[in-house]
Amino acid sequence: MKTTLAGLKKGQKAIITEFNIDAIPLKLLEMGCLPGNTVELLQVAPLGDPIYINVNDSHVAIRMETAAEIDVEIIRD
Amino acid sequence: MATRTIKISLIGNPNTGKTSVFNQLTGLNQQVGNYPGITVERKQGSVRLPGNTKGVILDLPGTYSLNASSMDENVVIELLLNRNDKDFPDVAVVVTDVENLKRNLLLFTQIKDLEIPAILVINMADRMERKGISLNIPLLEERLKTKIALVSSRKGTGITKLKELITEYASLSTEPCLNASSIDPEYFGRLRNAFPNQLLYKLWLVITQDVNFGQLERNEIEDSFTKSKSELKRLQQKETIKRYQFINDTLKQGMTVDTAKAKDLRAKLDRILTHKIFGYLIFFAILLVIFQSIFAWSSVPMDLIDEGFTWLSSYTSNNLPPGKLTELIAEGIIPGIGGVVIFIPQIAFLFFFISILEESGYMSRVVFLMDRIMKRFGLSGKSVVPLISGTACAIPAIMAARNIENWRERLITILVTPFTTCSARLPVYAILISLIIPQRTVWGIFNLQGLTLMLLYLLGFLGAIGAAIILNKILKTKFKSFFVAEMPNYKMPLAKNVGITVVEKTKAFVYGAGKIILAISIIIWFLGSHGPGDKMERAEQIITEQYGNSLGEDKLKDAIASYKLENSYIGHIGKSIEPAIRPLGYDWKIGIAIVTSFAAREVFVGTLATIYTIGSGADDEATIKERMKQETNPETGQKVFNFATGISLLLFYAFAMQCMSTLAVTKKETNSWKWPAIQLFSMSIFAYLVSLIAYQLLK
Amino acid sequence: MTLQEIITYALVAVAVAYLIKKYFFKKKKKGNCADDDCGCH
Repeated sequence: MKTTLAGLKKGQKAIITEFNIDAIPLKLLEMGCLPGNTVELLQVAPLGDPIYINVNDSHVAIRMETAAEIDVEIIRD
Repeated sequence: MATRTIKISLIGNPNTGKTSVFNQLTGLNQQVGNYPGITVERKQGSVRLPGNTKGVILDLPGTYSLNASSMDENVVIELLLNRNDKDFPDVAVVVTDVENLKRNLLLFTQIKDLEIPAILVINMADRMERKGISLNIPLLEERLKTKIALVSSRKGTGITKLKELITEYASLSTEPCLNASSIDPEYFGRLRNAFPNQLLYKLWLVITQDVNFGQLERNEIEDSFTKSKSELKRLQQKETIKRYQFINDTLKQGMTVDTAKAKDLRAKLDRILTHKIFGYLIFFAILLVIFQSIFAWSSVPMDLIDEGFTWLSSYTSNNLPPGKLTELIAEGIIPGIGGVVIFIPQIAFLFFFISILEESGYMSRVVFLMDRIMKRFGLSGKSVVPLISGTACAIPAIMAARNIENWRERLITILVTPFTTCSARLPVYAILISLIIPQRTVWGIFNLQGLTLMLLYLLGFLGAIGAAIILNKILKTKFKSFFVAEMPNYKMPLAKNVGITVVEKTKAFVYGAGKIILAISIIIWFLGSHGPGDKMERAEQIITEQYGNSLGEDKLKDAIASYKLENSYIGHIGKSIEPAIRPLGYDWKIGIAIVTSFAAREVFVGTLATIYTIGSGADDEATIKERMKQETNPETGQKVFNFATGISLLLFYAFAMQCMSTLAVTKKETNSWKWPAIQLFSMSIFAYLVSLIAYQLLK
Repeated sequence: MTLQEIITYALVAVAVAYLIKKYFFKKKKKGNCADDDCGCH
């Protein structure tokens, strides 16, 4: 199922398909947030933002507005 | 045989235990300073290597890649691109964490592309078994074209092997591990032809980065090879993908992870520590414990130090040959140094707690927890780190704001950080609280004085938040906000790392502030014991004539001393500013202390100590606290440090911008005089108004 | 003037000179940042 990273639920895994490169900081790319890599939503902060993800074995927190720019395909609930 | 020296650069991602490796190699043989002209911390150390060789190690700031996004990361690139730099390494030691090997190797492949001999340190080897990780070292060494040292900086294993590898650095291959230029062969081919003598990857970095490069001028390449920002980023993305392909292929063969074995403590801890209720409760409980213990634990050594210096001062004045120099030492220098030494215990405790929060990985969870709330005030979750470390000192705290990606959020953080209660305010608070708040236990466990202190800290945070809300309304910006925070794995803080941080920071603070305080104490003493005209010389005569023999000998001595003080230079300065501070409940002596504390707040106690020491017959053995308690207003006969004045002073110190060093750092970090000027005036005016209102209501 | 006085006034002069140097003549080399977004490229 297609959605964006912002649309994932806690514990869901997905594959990154595409993103708007101008809206993504380079640092996030370097962490391994690249098309083809798997991403898992680990935690959502108490107020719904930011989210805490595991992408390419990097554990990072990003804000929803960035997550909304990353398209993913859900592979496992 | 002459000793050979090898220059080593220690490079690595943040959170790989790079500093632990540095501490293991050098022990306490390290010097901390700054890079010239910028406030990036420069840590250098030396190590004895096998075969009569000495290693000089530079611990470079942590960086995720060679694509600089901050001043700290620029330092790394500028050094590695400039072979003429005096610190240019003979060998680069790249530190990685075995659990994050994939990501950490990205930086390693970039350094290999610069053709610098590089050793790969795989750290945290002690966790491999628990995580079910096994490595094929010979295969990795062959694919990555390097030598690998498996190290546990925690257990101290593998360090000997690392030292051997460093000694044999000449045998390392300098061949890159992959061909990064294949991402755009046409473009790189043209670059190659235009600059046949330069490394291709170096040219690429020069084009994509905004850094200084010594002999290779940017504008030489600018014209024909510039690409738009967006195109460059696309190429950087391609480059990153290319590197990860190589790394993934390599690790597929060289590393196996038995996931069944990997029990995840991280997930369990994260669930509790970032829980929507417990998360915040735990955070506030930790803060409460920290502040209570700082106050409770440091009060005993502080009292001892206070009494010790008072004794030393009277001992000196009674036992050295009488004269000007003895007076200077007993009344100026010793109380001045005492004013610095007295807050060593508190600073040490603060840095102790802060370094534990950072080392354990907990600080990142607080960042995650607080981002949404802070964003509402125009701050970032990462602003929590400056705001918390601001309780130690605003200077490193403002520098810590560099991690904030968004300029606007960073600027607001820099501007509001000085509101947090730094350790320089502590001695002022401590002495005032002990004068006006009774020593009592409330609700069974809380010490009333400790609670007041906690309240003042809270006030500082509220001040910061309030200022942020206002700035958030005023400052407009077109920047999009970025936020990327790594969530490192939890670690037990290493005693050695915490210890070294505490010692280094305390030392830096005491020497830095100490020199200023000492100089100011000397000047205050001079201004306090000399005056215009001949009133100072005739003081004894005038007072004796005025009172005759009606006073006792001691009283007469005190009367002469305070007459002298009033007619000294400092007395004149103090009297002239008195009208401005009288409505706040301060007398001219407090006024002097406030004026001098604009250099640095901690001078307050030292200045009052010097003024009261001069102002009393020198053989008085009362401590500074006792003197402040006894001080009475000669006109009204009331105690000077009563409740209203005390509260007014506490509030003034809570809000006023009284630290030249902080202003200097703000200037450096924002590259403009505008922001420090705004800080100075708005904070000080606000402090004046709040104190005025408080005093007028309470008196 | 006694020796004690000479040393004392010399120390006062050193203290004044130190503070002046510290706060008014602190020469900084040029930073390596752009004009308005230092360290925030």
